[in-house]
Amino acid sequence: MTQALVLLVTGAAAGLFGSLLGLGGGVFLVPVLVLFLGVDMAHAAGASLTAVIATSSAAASVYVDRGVANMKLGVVLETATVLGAICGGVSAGLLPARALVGLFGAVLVAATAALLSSRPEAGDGPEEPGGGPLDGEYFDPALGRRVRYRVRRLPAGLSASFVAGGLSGLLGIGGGLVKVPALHLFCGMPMKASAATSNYTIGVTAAAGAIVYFNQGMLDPDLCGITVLGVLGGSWAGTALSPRIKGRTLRRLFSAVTALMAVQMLRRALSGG
Amino acid sequence: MAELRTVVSRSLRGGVILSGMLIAAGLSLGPTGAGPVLLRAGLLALILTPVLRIAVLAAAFARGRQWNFFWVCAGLLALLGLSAAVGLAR
Repeated sequence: MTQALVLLVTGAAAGLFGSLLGLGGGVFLVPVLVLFLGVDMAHAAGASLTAVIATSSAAASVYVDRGVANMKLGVVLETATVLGAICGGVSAGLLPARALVGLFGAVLVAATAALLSSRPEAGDGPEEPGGGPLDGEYFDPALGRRVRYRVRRLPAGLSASFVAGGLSGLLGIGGGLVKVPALHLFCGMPMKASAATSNYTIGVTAAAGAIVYFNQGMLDPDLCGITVLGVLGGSWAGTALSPRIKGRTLRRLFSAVTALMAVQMLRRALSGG
Repeated sequence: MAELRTVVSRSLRGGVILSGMLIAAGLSLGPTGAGPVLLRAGLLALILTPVLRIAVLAAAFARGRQWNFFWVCAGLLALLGLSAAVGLAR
């Protein structure tokens, strides 16, 4: 019973931060399941995948309605992500896990540095006439005005999505940690639109993986079910909170997560665990 | 565009609510009777929600005659099928 409560609360926290930051929440969920609840890695990854779908779908249903998630850009990026996930899944085992974890850590260090050093207002509302088929606009209550943005450097966004998909195929993590900084820093999207669009896309990648877990009987129904209920509650709270939070605050929160993950990944790579 | 948003948002919300209710019902019934069946059905509904969203989007693009985006969605569905096939074969 206490275990169920821990699962519910952890799921709620993962859903809350995941829906705000554009992550699936697996980043928070997997360590808790493995380290504190003694769940083995495969079942933890399966539960994490279902949690990612729950966060993504619950959050995206709201962000799409508000117009913050860029649906057209989302589908275009999803093709690169799923392709990356297939390549990652096929090539898993060809590359040593330590090198991958190290590489991921290095990417996170770069992302953290870029997030912290870019202009404080960059992407928080560059007023630019759109017009391209992928450009977007939405109303930001925290700023009290409509934000219009232009999607730049699509190839860079596609490449980052491919890498994100590959990592999720190889390591069983969501791609949000790679996608959000890439959309914000390379494609020039405001932080909120980056997080919302990432949220919108990660459910598809996770679904591709989860269907395999489901068919192989690798989803523990109770574990997944309780976690998902927590995640749904947390995600709805996150989407309710999101309009009141400034893009700058989100960026700081996000860089704190990437910094923390970078340290953890690099330590794992160096220690060989 | 506004109409597209409403349709996609509703399909996602519908999937989430349906799976949430099935999961809650399955968990509250426990390991006997219809409990496990409802629970598994809820998880399957959840997994299929993002896939449904792409199908809905494809239909909406086709109706709006935005063929380039329609083909992106169709390609994505094909890729998802391929990835499921690759995963199941392993």
